Amino acid sequence: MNAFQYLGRNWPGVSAKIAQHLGMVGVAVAASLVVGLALGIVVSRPRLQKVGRAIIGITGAAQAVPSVAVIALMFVYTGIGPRTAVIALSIYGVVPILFNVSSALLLVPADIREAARGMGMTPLQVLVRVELPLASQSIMAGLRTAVTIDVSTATVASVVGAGGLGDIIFIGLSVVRPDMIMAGTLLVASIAILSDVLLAFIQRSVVSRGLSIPS
Amino acid sequence: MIELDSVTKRYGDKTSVDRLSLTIPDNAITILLGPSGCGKTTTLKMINRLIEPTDGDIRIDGHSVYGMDPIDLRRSIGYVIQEVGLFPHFTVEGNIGVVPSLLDWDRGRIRRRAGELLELVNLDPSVYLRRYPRELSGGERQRVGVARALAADPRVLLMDEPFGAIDPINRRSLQDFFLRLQTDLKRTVVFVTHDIGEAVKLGDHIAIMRDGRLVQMDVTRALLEHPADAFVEELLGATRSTEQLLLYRAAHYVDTAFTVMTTEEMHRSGVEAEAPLIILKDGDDISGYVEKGLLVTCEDPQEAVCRFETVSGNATLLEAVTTLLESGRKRAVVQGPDGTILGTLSVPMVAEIMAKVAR
Amino acid sequence: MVGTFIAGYGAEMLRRTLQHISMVGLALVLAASIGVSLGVAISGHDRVARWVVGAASVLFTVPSLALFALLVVALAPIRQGTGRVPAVTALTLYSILPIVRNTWVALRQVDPSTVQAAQGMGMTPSQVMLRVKLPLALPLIMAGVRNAAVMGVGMATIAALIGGGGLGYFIFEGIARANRSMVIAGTMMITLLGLAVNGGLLLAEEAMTPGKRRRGEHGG
Repeated sequence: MNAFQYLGRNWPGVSAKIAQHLGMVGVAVAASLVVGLALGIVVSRPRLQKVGRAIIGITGAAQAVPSVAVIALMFVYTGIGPRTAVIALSIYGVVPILFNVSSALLLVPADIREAARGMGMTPLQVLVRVELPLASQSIMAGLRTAVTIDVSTATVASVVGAGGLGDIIFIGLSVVRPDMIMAGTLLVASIAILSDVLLAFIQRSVVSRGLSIPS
Repeated sequence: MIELDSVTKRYGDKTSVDRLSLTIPDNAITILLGPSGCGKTTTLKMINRLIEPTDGDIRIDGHSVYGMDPIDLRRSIGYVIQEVGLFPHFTVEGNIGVVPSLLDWDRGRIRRRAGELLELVNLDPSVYLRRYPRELSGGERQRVGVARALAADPRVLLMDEPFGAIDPINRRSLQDFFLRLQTDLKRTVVFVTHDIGEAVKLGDHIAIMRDGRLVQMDVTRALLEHPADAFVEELLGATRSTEQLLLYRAAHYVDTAFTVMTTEEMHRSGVEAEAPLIILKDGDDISGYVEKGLLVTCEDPQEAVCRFETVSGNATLLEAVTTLLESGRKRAVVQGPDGTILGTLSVPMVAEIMAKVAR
Repeated sequence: MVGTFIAGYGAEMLRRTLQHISMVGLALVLAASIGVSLGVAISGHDRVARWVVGAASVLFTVPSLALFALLVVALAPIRQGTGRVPAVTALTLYSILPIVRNTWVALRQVDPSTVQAAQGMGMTPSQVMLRVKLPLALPLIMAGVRNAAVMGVGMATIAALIGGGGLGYFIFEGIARANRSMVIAGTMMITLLGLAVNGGLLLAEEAMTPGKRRRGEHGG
């Protein structure tokens, strides 16, 4: 039996796994984005610049911590189940987003911020109209990293009973069923690539063309 | 009129601006000039409240800026800084439209206004509206910067070394461009620079600052001729060479002793020997001038009429002298933008001015 | 609890750690040789380069478990379906992207006037590459190697699932046996290894960047 035959015969079960996988990643990415963006904005305020730099250092180093370690650690606290995976993925996803948001916002030139203030923008307008658009490229890059990592790590999360497409691969590996391994692999790779392509597309429409022109 | 009343700004122990009192007249360019760290930029930023003073008051047309909402205040004042101040993620239209959009203008009106302003700064709207700042040259960016500051038609423009990042040749042409613009617009401009040449060229008035204090403020010519102390003299020293002729504006140096009459009036009247220079103006045409007292010695009044050159008040003394030397005429009539006669200039007069300034 | 685990399994932990390091190290050496050569080969051929880097980026988004599993299937016919071969192969494939991309970008960034100066002094194209371009590109290439290494430490954990050994054993075995101490010990080791590799290579990177080093010596 090949992978496509497997998919055809087991579609209801497989589609449930796809839904689980996407659900896990979706919830985790949304949580990471909200937390990462909010924290990144707070620590990049001029008064908190020292905190911001410390956060950049910490998140920079934290990206060297393997994602599996975070899942394993969460397992110690919350045991088996999808909750463990979602919490671990959310925490792990915050790191690249927070790193990119805070470093990009801290890189917005002070002159530009002052020009915006000098023209009569309120602090919120400066943030929304100037700072975030200038940082958008980097924010989107952080988001893409988080999504790629989460799709990948969610597969491994199968070992803590989180469900998702990892289940198909693991079962395939343990009972030596190449068709299952291939089917799971194909699906998870497609999700990873398609979500990245989708985000690249969103990135192109969100980021101003003016920023990609070499200065 | 902008009045700074004993304005002080301290950062910790350091006093950046020290009891500065200054009156900035309407519809003219006032330069804040001084070495770096003299407090000129701090002073400028206190006018739109980007920096809050420690003490003192600033009034615009009699109203204290501290009684206004800082956001509204800034939207009512044009602000130009070095080229980096353009927002790279907005098109030229978006940049010019920043303040209008903050003021909730509708899109059509913003677009029309942006087009108008681009034409005003000599950039073709059909080419430039959709461009991004990084697609522009330094000089073009600066023009857009000026257009952006003018978007909501502010009475007051604050300019912080706006041409500082531009190469000398383009800087000169931007200065000329800005002067021409100002003759039409007549805004109240506060212009910070550390470039003495720029100050002398652009300034109707110059305020010289040092260590946070005002050293001297006067109209440009008076300041050049009567420096208040050794510091000012030394600061201005850099302009005291003949090549600086190209910085001085003709309007500031004209001989204003003249009367205007029509040719017919001249023929009719018996002019006395001590009468000043006569400029003959029939309708809108200036037909010539008659040197002081010359009329008395001539049989036929028409023989006394001399030909002349016209020079714009914004022209530099160098341009005026060149025009005179090339044409062989003795005098130039200096005209304002609306055709008013500001006075006359001659080569010996310019020589005298240079001698005085280079003293 | 964790302490007793480490005391009891000290030798085992050391063995697994070395296994882990050798797996990542071998993949890194392979990836660096392939990645740098590929980067040099494609530099100057912008269109080809974009394709190569693009293809490598797509491969990079494929989840690691999926790639491991894929190689298990692909290498089964030659009896290398489990163990270190698929693990090292997968790690190498992943590690190539950051290295080839950084090499290409770094070579592009070399100031053309520097290259012209070298040509003007009579260097052959290969001399220009070896004596001028590559040394100038080295810091950025090293950054790519560091990225690859850090990522490799994390991915090699997953190798335990396909019999590749390494520190992942403690994590997955610990989860299967619900042995918390084992999981914590494994997690600690893998985290420390990740941070140490990152820190160590960061120092190496800075030492290879002449400007940075000098600034450091003058105390910033």
